[in-house]
Amino acid sequence: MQTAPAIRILLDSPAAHYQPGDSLSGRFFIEGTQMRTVRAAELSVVWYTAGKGEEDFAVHHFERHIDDSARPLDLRVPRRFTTKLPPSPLSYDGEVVKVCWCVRLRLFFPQIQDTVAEIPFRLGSVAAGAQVAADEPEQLE
Amino acid sequence: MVIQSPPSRFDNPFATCWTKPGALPFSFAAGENAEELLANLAAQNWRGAIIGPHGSGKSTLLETLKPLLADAGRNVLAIALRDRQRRLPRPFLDSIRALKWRSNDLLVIDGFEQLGWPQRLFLAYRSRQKRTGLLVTAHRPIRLPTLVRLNPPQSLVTRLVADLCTEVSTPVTLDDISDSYACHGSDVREIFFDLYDRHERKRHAVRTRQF
Repeated sequence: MQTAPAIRILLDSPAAHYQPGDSLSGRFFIEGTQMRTVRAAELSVVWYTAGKGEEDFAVHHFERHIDDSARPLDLRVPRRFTTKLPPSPLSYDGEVVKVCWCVRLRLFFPQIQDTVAEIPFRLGSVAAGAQVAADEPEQLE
Repeated sequence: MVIQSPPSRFDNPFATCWTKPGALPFSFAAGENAEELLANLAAQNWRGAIIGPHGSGKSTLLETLKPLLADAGRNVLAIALRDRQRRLPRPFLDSIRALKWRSNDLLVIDGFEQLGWPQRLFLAYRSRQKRTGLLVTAHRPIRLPTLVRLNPPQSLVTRLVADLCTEVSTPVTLDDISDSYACHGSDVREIFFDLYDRHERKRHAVRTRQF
């Protein structure tokens, strides 16, 4: 039985911190020397909210790579992706809600379940909730 | 300068994405399982109620049962009522009207007692008359056979928290869980909300010290 492969997504900017309008680029691949048959690979750049309440989600960039006889999908060879980031929503690390961005890769295998890997990144420079609190001057009673 | 990792759903194991019905599989008490519940439901002509207080796992159990009901040949027509919905929404009513009321049809209504009595009566009467299944959740026993009563003990909550924290670590302690259970009882949804807040407060307290 096949096991889930080690998927790697690498951003060209190791800091994973971007500003609106920046170009986000990187590459993805499967580690190892043995060829793994992959029916399709879907790469998306998405934002979502995480917290205690309702969730929101949107896809900013999507690309699908399909395995066919003319062009086999050999993911041992890194594939590049690039997209221009939008003005909003900016990343936010709040206590009640977080706005999160990530690059997500879903691989469809012939015999095992789909496998998903993701790597988060930051868009913009909105201070985290704790940082805002620390920066505020102390209130006098 | 402190470099922070980007925000992500993996920052808090008690976020909705990990705890909502369907995301976290229902955890059965010792000696119970989904197959046994399904057998009991079938023995009651597919009519039954899942009873339990707020946040005790009724919706989560329904989400766990739905695929098994489909596997058992039931044609499931399901709806979840929220925020004191007194009436079934129009699209669902239209679906019911289009229903052939066959014996393998099964109406699944989460939050049945929120409906006004005319619609409850209509559904109960019509489904019995046509021998169609009716599976509902409610806070108190109603005029349907009680399939299961949920009242999660603290040991179950502790187990659920351990399951949630297999991939994401948390500064929340066993004392926090005990304290939260003492405040919220078997309302697991409220306990998860509370633990979400405790996790955030402790995490942000560490960060604030770093700044």
